[in-house]
Amino acid sequence: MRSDKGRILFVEDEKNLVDIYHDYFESNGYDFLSTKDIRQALKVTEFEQPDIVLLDIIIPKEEKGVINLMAEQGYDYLEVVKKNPKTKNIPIVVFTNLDTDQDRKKSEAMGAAAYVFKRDCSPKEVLDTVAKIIERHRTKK
Amino acid sequence: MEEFRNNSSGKKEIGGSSYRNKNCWLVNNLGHAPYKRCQYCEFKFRHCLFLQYQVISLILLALSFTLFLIFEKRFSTLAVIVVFGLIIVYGYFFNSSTEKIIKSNFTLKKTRDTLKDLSDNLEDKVRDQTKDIQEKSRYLQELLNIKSDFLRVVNHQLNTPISVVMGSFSMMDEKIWDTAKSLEAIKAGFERITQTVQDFWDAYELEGEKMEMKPDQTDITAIVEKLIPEKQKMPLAIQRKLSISVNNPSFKIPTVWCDGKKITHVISNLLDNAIYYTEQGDVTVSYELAGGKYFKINVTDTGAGISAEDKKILFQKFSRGRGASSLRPDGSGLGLYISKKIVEGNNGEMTCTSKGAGKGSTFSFTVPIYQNQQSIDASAEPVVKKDKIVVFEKNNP
Repeated sequence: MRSDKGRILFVEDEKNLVDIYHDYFESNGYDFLSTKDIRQALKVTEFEQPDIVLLDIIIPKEEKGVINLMAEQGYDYLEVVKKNPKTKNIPIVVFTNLDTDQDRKKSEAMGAAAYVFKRDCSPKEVLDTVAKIIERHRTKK
Repeated sequence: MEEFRNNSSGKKEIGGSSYRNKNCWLVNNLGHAPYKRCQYCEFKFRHCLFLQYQVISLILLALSFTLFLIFEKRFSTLAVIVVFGLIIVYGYFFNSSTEKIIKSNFTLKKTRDTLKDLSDNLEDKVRDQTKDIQEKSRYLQELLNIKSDFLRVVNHQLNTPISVVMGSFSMMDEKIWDTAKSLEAIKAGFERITQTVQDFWDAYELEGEKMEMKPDQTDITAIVEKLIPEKQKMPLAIQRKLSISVNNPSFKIPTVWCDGKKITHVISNLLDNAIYYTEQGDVTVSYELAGGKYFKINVTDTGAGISAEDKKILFQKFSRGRGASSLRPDGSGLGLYISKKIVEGNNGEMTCTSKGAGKGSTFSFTVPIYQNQQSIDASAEPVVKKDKIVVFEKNNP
C-alpha cells in the first residue's frame, strides 16, 4: 500500500546509511525503497513513480573488470531520469558526501531539486527537506 | 715556403698554422704549402691564384721574348733585365693583393659560420627549453590532477562513515534505534574512519617510498597467535560461525628477518579479508619453507574465491574485484596494495592462488629467514613500538 506521506526512493551504496534512513523514514510513515544498482533504480523510478528520489552521486561501478570506487553513477542516473518524459517531473534530491561548488552547480544544471551534503545533515533535516519538496510538488500539480 | 707536416702546433682547421688544404693537389701530394695564404685557402689546385700567376708570368715571358725576336732579331741584355724586373714587380703586387682576397674570404666565411652556429644553437636551445618547460608543466598539471582526485577520494571516503556516525546519533537521540543498535553502528563508523585514515597514510608513505622498514629477528607464530583470538572475536566471524585456526607444521619454525609491526599489519589485513569474503567454512593459517632462505605464510579460506580476471587487479590501488564490493562494501581498495608493498619492502613476495570464483582462495607471502650475519647489518635498527601517548615534560612545567 502506498503511504499518504509519500514514497521515497533512496539510491545509495552505503548499507549503514540505508539502514538509518530506512528506519527513520518508515517510522515517520513514509514508503521507503532503496537500491544501489543504477539500472534497477531507473526501472523503479519509471514503474513505481516515487514522490521523490534521494540520490547518492558516488556509487562504485565495474569498469572492464575493475571496480571504480569513485564512479559518479548518480549523474548518469540523473541524466537518464530527466530525459525520460515519464520520470522527468519526479523531484530528485542529490544526497552526497561531496562538498564542492562544482558538484552543486552540476547538480543544479542537471535538474536536481536540491543538494544535500550528507555529512552535515541529520535525518530530521533531510526528512524536513524531503517533506517540503514533496508538498511543493503536490500543490504544483 | 713552410713545412706543413712537421708543424704540429696550431689548429688543424682552416686558418690554423697546421691546416692542410686537402683540395689542393700541390699541398696534399707534396706536403708543401707554397705560400702563407695556403692556410686560409680551400681552393682546388687549378684555382690556385699562385699557379695562375706562374702561368701568366710564363705566357708574358714567352710573349716578350717573341716580340724581341720579331723586332730586334736578338735578345739584348737590357731587354731581358727589364722583362724579368717587370715580372717580379708584378708578382709582388699580385701576391700581396691575392693574399688579401683569400684572407678576407676566409674571415667572411668564418664570421658567417660562427653566426650560423650561434643562431642554430640558439634555436636548438630555445626548442629544448620550450620542450623542457612544456614537459614540466604537463607533469605539474598531472600532479595537480592527482592531488585533487586524491582529495576528492579522501573527502568522500571519510565523510561517508562520519555521516553514518552522525546519523546513528540522531537515531539514538530520537529513540528510533535503541542504544545497543546505535552504538554498534557508531562503532562500525569509527572503525572505518580509523582504517581509512590509516590506509591513506600508508598509501601516501608507500607512494613516496617513505615507509621505512625496521627489520629485526621476528617470530611469526607469536604474531599469528596474538592475532587469531582478536579475529575470532570479530562480530562477522561470530555471526558466520567461522573457524579461524593455525596449522602448526612438523618442522621447526624458523625466526625470520622482517619489520614485525608492518608484517603484523599484513597478516591482520589478510585475515580480515579472509573473514569478510568467507560466508561459511573456515580460515586457516599455515606455514611452509620456501627454499632454504624463505619462510612462507599462507592464509587460506573457503570463501568467495577469485576469478582469473580479478587476479590481475588484485594488488592495484583503488581497485577491487567483481565480488568484492557486494561482500565488503566499505573496503578502501588499498588493503592488498599496501600489504604487497610491505612484503616487498621486507624482501618477500606476495601471491594469491584460487581455483576460481566460489572456490576459496589462498594468499601467501614470503619473508627471509633470519641468518646470523644479518645481525651485523648496521642499517637495521631494532623495532621500537611507537607510544600511543607521549607526555612532553618540558611543556608541562
